[in-house]
Amino acid sequence: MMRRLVSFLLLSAAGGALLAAGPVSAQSAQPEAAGAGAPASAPVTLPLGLLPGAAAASQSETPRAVRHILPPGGARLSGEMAKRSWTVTLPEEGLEDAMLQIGYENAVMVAPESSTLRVSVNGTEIGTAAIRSSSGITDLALSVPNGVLVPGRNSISMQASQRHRTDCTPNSTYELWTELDPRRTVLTTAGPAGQPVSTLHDIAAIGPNSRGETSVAVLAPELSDPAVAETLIALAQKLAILTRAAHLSFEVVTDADEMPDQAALTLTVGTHERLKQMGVAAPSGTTIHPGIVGSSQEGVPHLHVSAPSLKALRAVLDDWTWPTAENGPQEQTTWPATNAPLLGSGESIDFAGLGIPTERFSGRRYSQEFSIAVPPDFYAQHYGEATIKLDAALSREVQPGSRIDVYVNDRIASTVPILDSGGGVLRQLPIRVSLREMRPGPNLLRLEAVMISEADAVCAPGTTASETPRFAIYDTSRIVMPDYAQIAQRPDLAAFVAAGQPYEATTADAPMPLVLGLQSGETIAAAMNVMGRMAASAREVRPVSVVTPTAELDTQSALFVSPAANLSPTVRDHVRLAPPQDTGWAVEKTIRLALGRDRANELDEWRESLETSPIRRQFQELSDTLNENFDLSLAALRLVPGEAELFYPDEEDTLVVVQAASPGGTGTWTVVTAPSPEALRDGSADLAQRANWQEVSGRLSVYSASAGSITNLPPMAVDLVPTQPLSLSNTRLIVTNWMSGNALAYSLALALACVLLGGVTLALLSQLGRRP
Amino acid sequence: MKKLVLWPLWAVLAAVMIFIVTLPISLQAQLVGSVTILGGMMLMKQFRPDGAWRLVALAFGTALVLRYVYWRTTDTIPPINQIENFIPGFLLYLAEMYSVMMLALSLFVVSNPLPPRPAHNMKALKRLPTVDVFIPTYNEDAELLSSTIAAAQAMNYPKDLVKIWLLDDGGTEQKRNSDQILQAASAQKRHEELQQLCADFGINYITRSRNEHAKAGNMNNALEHSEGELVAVFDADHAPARDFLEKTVGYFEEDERLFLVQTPHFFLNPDPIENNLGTFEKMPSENEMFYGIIQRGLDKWNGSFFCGSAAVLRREALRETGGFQGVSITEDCETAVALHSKGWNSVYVDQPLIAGLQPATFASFIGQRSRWAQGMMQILLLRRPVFSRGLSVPQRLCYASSTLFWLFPFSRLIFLLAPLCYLFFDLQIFTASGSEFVVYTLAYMVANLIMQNYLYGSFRWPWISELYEYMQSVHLLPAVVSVALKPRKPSFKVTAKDESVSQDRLSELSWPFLLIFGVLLLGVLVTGYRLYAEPWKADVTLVVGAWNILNLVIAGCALGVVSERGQRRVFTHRVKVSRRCEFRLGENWYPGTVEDVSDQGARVRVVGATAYDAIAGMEAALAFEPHTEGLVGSLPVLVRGTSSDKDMVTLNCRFAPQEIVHRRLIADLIYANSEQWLEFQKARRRNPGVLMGTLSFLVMAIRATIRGLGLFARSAIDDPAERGQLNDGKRA
Repeated sequence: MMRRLVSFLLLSAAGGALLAAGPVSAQSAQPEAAGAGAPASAPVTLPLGLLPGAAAASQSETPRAVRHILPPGGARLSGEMAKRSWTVTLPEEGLEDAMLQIGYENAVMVAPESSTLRVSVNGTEIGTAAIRSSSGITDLALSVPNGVLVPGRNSISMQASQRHRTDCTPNSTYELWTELDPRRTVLTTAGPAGQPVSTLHDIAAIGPNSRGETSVAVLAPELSDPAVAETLIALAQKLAILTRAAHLSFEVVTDADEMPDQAALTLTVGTHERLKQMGVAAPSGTTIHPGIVGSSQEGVPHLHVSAPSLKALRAVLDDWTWPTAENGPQEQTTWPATNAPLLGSGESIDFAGLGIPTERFSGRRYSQEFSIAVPPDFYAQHYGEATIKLDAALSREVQPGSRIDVYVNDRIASTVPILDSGGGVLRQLPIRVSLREMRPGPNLLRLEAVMISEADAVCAPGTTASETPRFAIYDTSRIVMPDYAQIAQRPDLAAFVAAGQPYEATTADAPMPLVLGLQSGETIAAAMNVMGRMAASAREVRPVSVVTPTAELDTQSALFVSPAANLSPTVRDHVRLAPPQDTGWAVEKTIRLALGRDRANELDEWRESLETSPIRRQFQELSDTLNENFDLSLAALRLVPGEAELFYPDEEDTLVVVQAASPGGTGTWTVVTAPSPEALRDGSADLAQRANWQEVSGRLSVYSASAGSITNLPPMAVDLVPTQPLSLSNTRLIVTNWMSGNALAYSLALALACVLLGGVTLALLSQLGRRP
Repeated sequence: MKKLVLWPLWAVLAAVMIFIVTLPISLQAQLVGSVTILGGMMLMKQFRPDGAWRLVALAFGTALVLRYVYWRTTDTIPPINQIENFIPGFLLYLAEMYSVMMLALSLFVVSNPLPPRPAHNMKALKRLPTVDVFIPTYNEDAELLSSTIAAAQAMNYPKDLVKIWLLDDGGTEQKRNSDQILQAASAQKRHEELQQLCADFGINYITRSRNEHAKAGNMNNALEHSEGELVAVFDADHAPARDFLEKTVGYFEEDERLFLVQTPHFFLNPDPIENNLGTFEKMPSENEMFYGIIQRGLDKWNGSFFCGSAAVLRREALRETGGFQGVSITEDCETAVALHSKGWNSVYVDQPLIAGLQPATFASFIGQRSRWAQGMMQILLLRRPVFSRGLSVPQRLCYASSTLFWLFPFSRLIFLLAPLCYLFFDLQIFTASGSEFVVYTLAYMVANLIMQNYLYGSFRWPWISELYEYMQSVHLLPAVVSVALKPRKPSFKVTAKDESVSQDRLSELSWPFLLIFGVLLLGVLVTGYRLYAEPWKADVTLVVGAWNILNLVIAGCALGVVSERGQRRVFTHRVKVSRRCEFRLGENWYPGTVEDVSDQGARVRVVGATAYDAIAGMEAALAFEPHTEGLVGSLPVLVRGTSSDKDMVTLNCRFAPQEIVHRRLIADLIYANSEQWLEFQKARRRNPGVLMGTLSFLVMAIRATIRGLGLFARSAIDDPAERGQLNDGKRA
């Protein structure tokens, strides 16, 4: 480790902003180098002697504060051009002499002489480096000029421009990537680690650990009381909004001895008395304590909420003013917690507004990502088409056969071939983008221009390094949303994860009923994970009341968080989950095969035997053809939706989120369940990561921790719940979307209208004109 | 009363239909919808093609057409800032919308046509009206006229109530005193000859001083000199059947406000297209769609109109409008517009009661159609029947349908050229992907074909309309344009119907068709090249290429049409008669049966004679019991051929009339039984269905293309000068 850091110092001293790879011998030691070994909390204190900031001679010898930047899993910059941005929340003080360290590795095919990584902080470019680390992780250290960083939210962007060493085909650009290591990509500031934490703003600045997690340890001795649970859930939501952490996870214990020691924040909640018993310093008597903010000896921030009685605890948070969203008021036109502009029905935005600059591009695959959001009651997946009106120019080099592709949430949504040879200017070229993959909340769109040229076909040495622009895009291009239908669907987990729909209407007077199957720390932590993420997505705290299931719930919208064994059978049956003993979640593994799985296997066998019959095969071929050419599945031809089948979770499934209309039909029930309390807590924490959470959709969503996968099941039958007063145009579009999704119903409606009209026309004709 | 319920109900259902049809549904749903609807139409056509189900099927088709219109309007027109695409694209759009509008008008007119009216019994009438029979003539020869006059005289009606008038416009004073001495001499000769003919027949000859207002003026002149209550009009080559008056005059007693009883024009000879494609005996004639369905449909809305001949009109009504109208060159339809707007009624009798001849050469066919097109355009522009106050709303729609139809040259030529815009000039005039094209346009086309088949199935086979329209468009376009520019300019040209073609030759109007065929063929080559060189837009190229090939098939078929088939004489259909007769061979009379007759001759089967008794070229005579009272005598014939089996000899004879009485005997033989004509028509009225119809059209088109190209090749090898002479001779 010493050698590694020495070389680091030397290079940064000599070469200014740039750092090349260290000696190969040092590479193997690297994983521990930059903080993975440090406690999983931030800020982290580095040993004095190893201070990397020594490049700046003036630097004081106090320990530097280190903040991890990247979300869980790190980040990847792929293709010829890629850009990623992250937000770091910084405290009010100690922002001087900041250094940005970047640990990265790139594909062998990336040509170092023509590939660069550009780094900017809050819009100020702080350095550019050649991408030349194909044989292992290399650390770059870039100093951030004083004044660039600000207290509160800061944006760090990295933009890679990569070219292939040997190949000139558009396909070869998929071989280009640069990966950023979350453990070694950090922002270090002079601000001493472990400085006193005194305000909630300081808590907002708790960052993720080297794995991208922000974990909160909670001590709540009286958690069996609903008031404590409700307070905890309210706190979880406030913290989620405050920190905007990509991966906020909670752990709740009742005993101080059980407190995990690697938390980014600790939290104590309870009565003065009880907390005192636990050895937590707390006021006594009748004072209602709004919360103490401080930090432990290790510098871990601490938040304390206590009251003389459990009843009074509820009032604590109400009286406590939390900082609202930073960086000024949230703009109404963007989706909460993102930069994605919210595009209403018929609205449009130009590329400048999306943050896409006018730029020129010399490679063969231009790629630009941007986000747009639609409201949770967006209902145009089946028929809608947005239009990108593209202002662009192509150079003479670009040949026919080139194309412009648009992806929505990584699925292809449009391909426009470029038919003219000899380049030209595309003025407001309409590109129709299918909204099939569009989901409530923010959506990631990618515009790609794939260009074919004579020079690439020849691919003389150095072709890829050419900087002659082939493609130019102008920020006057626009994306125009169609007039789309707006009505909520039930079930619709996508709307649930995007905006907490349909629980948005909950107020303090009518809190959202939350049913905890078990009053355990794990279950409450799971509820905190889910509600915290929900609040972060919607940027809004939703009051909850912890209740036990009663008949009243049948007509209400409610959230159920429970281990499978503790889930009431009525609720379980209602949301079509198989009894746990019949599934892979059974405690006794031998029993589980007895019923459900076997029956399912039998069915599969039947299906297989049928598939070999020629009729079946032809049917399958027809189905495939339709699917291929018209994106039409035979399932879309069902007239009467079948009932949702019982779901049998697998042994590998960690967590299931399932939604259904409440038995009374007027509310929505969402159930979060897992085989065990621990799985419930950990699974919900994983699923509540921003990246995972956004993938949940449909009626039922399964998260498997071992595979790291999320599987969604589409709903069989969907209720439509009006979200706005009925208007003719909205009704028309709602009918359009419904009919587009139920093609057979559309055909039959059309046919029925024809039959009636034909009949009445005949009757009328026999009354009109001359009669035989 | 029922109407009060039905109208709002219909309006609501129509609104629901519009609502469903204008939903911007996804392509997938449209695919399923199109397949379902087309499937439904096909099923209904198989099992329940009539009555309410017919209307349901038409509603199905309408729904698909409306879907197409909605999609076409909202999604496919090129952006206006691409002006080179927008202009042709918008023209194509207009042409398509014109076609849709014409389909809508036809649907209105023929959605529920009146069934043929029951036959009238003249004996049941309280009083028989007096009738003037007008036979206007301009340049027809005496032989043709005598056959028409003889048939008119043979009509079953009290002799004292009928007056027959020959209205000679070829022997007017103006013509006889022409400065051109040759013309004057021939007019004078004609004047005298026809006067003699009329005297021989015992009918009235009438001519006038000046040839003003063409046929309308001629007939108005006759109106002034006659006073019958009813006026029957027969063109010089339209010979009436015996029962013509019997079956028509009764309607005038039923309805005092009736001004017209129109009957179909039935032709014994094929038109040039039928002749050159050889379809006359197999396929319904072109005009059967009009007389078999459209006039019946018009009749439902009291909108059937006068077609210049084969009709009876009420003098009182004509007097109200000052006689026949002469603003346009189609005085017939114009007269009907005038009288309909005065609140007079018309009736259409769906049974051929006259038999006539139609143009035999392509050039004369085009000449006739040019007159109709120009005349109807004149009515559209000068009479504006759509805005005429006197007409009922249905009548306005009927006349809109009849007149706007003649704008087809524009749309037809646009459809022809549109694919070339893409193939040759790379213009994107129809913005749609290949799959959209399949789901919307193909479905629309199939629905359209099925609807046409529902409407006109046994009267018009698939693609025949397209062929006729294409054949006419090339030459009609300039005619229609010139009317649009100068509506009062066109003058009446009499259609020549007695021309004939002696040997296979190319029509003098053939060159544009060869040119177009060549260009379209080039288009096919370009399609192939583009598929090879520009694979990235293969889907659009395939669709456009297929469209171009469809045009090529029609253009190829047209080559066969302009390659006129040679005939010794005007080919006419033989009508079966089965009439007992006596046949004289030499000195002996043998009993026999007249099997069938044409206007030129008859086939007789004789018992007792042997083949040796009859020699080709031999003079013979035919005697039979005439239907006409007081007609006696035998008909001289020439034997042209014989065949024999066992104890029967079949003789093909040609009539050799020498006297008037012979003409009348021929007329008695040919025009005795109008039922036979109906039988003949019915034999051709067979609905092959869309699929078989399309296939048979394809086969016919390929044959015609080969024949046409062969003739073009031969005529190119032949001495061009000689060919020119031949054509000049024909024109003279």
